Amino acid sequence: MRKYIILTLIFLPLFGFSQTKLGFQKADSLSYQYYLKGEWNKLITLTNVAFNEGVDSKFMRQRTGYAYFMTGDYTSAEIQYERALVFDRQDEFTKEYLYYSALNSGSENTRLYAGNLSAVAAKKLGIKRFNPVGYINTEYSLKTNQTTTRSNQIYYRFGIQSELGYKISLYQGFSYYEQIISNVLTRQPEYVAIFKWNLNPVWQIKSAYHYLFTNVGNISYPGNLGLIALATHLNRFTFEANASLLKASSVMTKQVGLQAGVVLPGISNIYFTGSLVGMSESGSLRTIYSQTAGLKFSKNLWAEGNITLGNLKNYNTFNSLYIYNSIDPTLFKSGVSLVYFIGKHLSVLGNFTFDQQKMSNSTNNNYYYQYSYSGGLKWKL
Amino acid sequence: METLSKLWITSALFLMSLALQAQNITELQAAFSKSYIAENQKNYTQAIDEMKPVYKEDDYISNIRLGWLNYMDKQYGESITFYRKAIALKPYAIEAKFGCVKPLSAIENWEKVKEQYQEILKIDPLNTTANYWLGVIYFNRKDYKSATNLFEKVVNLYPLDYDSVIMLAWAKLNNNSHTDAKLLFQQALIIRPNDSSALSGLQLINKWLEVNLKSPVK
Repeated sequence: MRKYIILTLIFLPLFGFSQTKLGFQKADSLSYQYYLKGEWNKLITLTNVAFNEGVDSKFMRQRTGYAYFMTGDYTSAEIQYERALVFDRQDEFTKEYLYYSALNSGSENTRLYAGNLSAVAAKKLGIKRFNPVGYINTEYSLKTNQTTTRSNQIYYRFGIQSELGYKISLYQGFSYYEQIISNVLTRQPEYVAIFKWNLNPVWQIKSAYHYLFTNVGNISYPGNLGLIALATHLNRFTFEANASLLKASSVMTKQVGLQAGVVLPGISNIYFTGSLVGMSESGSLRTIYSQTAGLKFSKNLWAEGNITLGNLKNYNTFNSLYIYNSIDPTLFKSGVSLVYFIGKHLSVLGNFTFDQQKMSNSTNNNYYYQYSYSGGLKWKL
Repeated sequence: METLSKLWITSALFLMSLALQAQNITELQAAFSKSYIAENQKNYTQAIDEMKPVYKEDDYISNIRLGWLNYMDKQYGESITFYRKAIALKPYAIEAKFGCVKPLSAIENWEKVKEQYQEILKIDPLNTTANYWLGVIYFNRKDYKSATNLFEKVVNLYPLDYDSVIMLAWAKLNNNSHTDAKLLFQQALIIRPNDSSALSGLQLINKWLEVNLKSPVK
């Protein structure tokens, strides 16, 4: 009996503490103290309890945002500064740190938030409304296989992104693909234009046009693709619905897709994106599922893994940047990418992908494997 | 006979309801009285507790009272909730909106504060408090044109109100209306001689005049 009384006495203060409400005054003054001392984890724990109690203020949101920013959890920092902005849309500190958080987390809203900065802050950071060259990038890819009738595939691309205001961006890419199949050379120069329009921090409209100038031997099979997408960004979640139409030779391919993504809390910025795509071509329907997961290994190094299942014949991804229109359809692909940031402007991309292809001109279901090695550079101006 | 008994029952019920109402009002008055005593002793938690037994969600006065006491007790979230209930009950009463401004200001929710002042001005367009403080919000946001419009309304009503005159002078100066600003700073010095804010405003105007009205160098 005595044992139970002692145990009760030990745990009683704990129950008491958990039931005590924090209140505004305590949360405000304690969070300020933690902020001054730079005790970021204590500050985050405290304000999260306060927010759950309904105790909230602009300053508490700003302090919490700063604490997340200092610990390197930029997505969480961005969420807190977005909340602080609801309290006061003109607060210069909020607007500036919202921009920094978005910039560091790689948010789609970075330019939108740059547009909210004061003229003085924008000048200090060298931000312009119209920027003809936001970044340039290049990619080279070599795909090898062990079949005798298929040569290695070569693909390369040069791209330029322009910022046509704070809400609209345009990416233009010029690429080239080449492969010899059964002694016939296939060459494919391409042009892609991708528009992104951020209506507000939540909604984004995307549209794209992709031209394929396919030459098989001496015969040309030009192709045109149009895409439209509506994306929404809600705190840690993103959702997208997209539809595209590809007309190449006499074949019309319709593609509709739904995509959902989440960024987990924490400094590793672990994220998952899943997409389900429906394809309609020559009266037949098929589905494709793709899953991506990525994380930040260190301040400069990001890693991403992906897997795609389904018949990818004429499938497009990354807002139609890539079109899988090889004569041999891909049935499965999986790969890993690494992105290394060197300084403020340059990032280097490395990718390895494994594909399973179906041999198109074979009467049997013959498959072969491809190993793709890609490298890329991106220079942000 | 039957009609007579019905009349008796109705009358009895009516009298009972009057008695209950009177009892409720007495209880309410007693609760308010106890709550005022606790508030005067700065015991806001007790002042809130005194109100709880008589609190009715559809009672405007109780909601206002609890909005105020929760504000004094620094329970800003609760305070806003009670004031919002009061606003919903009497949408044309501006006192509830003014009350709501206090906890909203305490949590620095300037967007909502601005909304409340705008709502007040829809009902009472010449309300000096709302015009002045909304003007201050615009002034702090460097929207000097909107601030000028609001301060002007107050100064037109109260030309000798120092705070409004000096704010209008600064808003005019930041809006590059130097001549108007000079007159207003001079007016402020009449109301409050040797006022440092007015003197520094006039100093800035004189410097501006020196730079801009200097004859071109030969």
